Amino acid sequence: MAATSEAIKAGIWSAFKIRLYEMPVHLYFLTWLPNLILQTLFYTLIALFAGGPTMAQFALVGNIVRLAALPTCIQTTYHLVADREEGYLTYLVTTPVNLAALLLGRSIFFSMEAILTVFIAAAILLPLAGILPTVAGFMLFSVVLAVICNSLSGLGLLVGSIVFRTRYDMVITSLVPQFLTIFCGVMIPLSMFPKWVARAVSFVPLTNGLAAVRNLLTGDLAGNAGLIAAELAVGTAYWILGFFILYCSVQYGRVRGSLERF
Amino acid sequence: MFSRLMDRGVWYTLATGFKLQLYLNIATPNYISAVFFQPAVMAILTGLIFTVSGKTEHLDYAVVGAGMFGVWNSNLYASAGIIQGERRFGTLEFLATTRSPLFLVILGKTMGAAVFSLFSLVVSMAVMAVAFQYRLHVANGWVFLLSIVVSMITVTVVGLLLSSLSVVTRYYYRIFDFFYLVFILSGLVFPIDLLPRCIQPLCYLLPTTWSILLYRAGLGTVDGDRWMFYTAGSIAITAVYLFVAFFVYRTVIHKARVEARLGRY
Repeated sequence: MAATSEAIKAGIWSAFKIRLYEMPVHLYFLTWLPNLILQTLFYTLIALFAGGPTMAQFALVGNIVRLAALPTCIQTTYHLVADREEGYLTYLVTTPVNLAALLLGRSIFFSMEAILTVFIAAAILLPLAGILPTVAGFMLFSVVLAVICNSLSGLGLLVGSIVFRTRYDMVITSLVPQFLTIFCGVMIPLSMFPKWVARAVSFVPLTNGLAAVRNLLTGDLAGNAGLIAAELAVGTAYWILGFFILYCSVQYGRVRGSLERF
Repeated sequence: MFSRLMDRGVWYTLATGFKLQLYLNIATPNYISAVFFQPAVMAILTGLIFTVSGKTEHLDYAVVGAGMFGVWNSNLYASAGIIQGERRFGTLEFLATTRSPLFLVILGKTMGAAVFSLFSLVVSMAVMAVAFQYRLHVANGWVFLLSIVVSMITVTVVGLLLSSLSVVTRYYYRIFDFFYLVFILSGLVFPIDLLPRCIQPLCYLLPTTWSILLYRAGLGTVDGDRWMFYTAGSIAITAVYLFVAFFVYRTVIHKARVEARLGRY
């Protein structure tokens, strides 16, 4: 138990240090955060042009929550790929460290970054659209956001476990947020899609959580337990599946001595 | 000046840089993604939004927007990485000290990146045609062709500027964080009239705004008779950017050579 706890702490700490090197605090506030806010505004303006204020408001909320995907899903994948590319993966899988706990630790840090980012973006942009959640709504929003971050990290692990031994890791990973934007009800209501698409994307992280966030922001605090539970279940399933594929892939690489090559 | 332009070495240097960058872009998955996949996804997203909103008349905005999204993303990403790439491979010092002017090498490479990024327009049109049965209606073919040429020149010049800036800081890639500001201000997928009046004048300081207006003049989605005005605007603003790019390049490279910092930050 103590070793697991240490591995989680090591995961949090290493993710923090790597992110700090890649993105010093001043650059986070001067360039990265403005980029995310501008990205949200860009997509909101497209929605405004296409469908007027109602659609713009819909897109604004969706895009703010979608921002959580960048630190969680993308970073989880990138760090896994970087481990292999920079030669750390060999040590990680051959030492007795609990790899799952380490990855969980990393995702905890990425989720913290994602929550901070979404909060700042929401604080700046939601009042512009006239959306002011109640205190209870905001508290529940925080809980749902944490659940969404967990499931997006699971998605990142699943994608990472599939792409980390390919040459096209960046290509595939960079398309994931766009996929979420198109199909998960970020900009286009799910009711606009055929029923089978809407049903299929309910098994994708973000979809159920985002629906819950929309309800919370419109004052519907009750009746979201099902959506939150669904998001939690989807996230857990992605975590398990991602780790299983990663484990199989690593074992395959170890047996064949091909862990460090494509 | 004229005699230098007639020098075969100038054209050879440009052509070599052009060819090298083109090959590099073709062989790099990230550039392939930026040119083929990103505009395709953007075209699907914007096409879907306009379709579900019942605004199919705006699909022209989607096709130009998605195409230009790819052109700017891929080309500027590639251009900004040119000097960085040479530095990483250890060839920057050689290029800076050989007789072929480094500026020409970089110019040739940014041109290569610009031409490669053109495929984004083709991709966005193809995706829109397949996914939304969109048929491109070109109101004025010559203006449309002119818009492509002018846009390539503009993109090359801005690429030069970014390339020079990448010598200054290891965080040069953070400049991409402001791409969305450029996309918003240039009205990539929507008219700039949608923006608050107070910031609309800023839009005309960006070469992208003029390029996109010229594209739309070719397609007939804005007043096609104003194409000469848009061309003149585009050329004028590009000339200013070229002047700034050349000045930045000279200052930065000279400083780096004097301080022996070409190979490091």
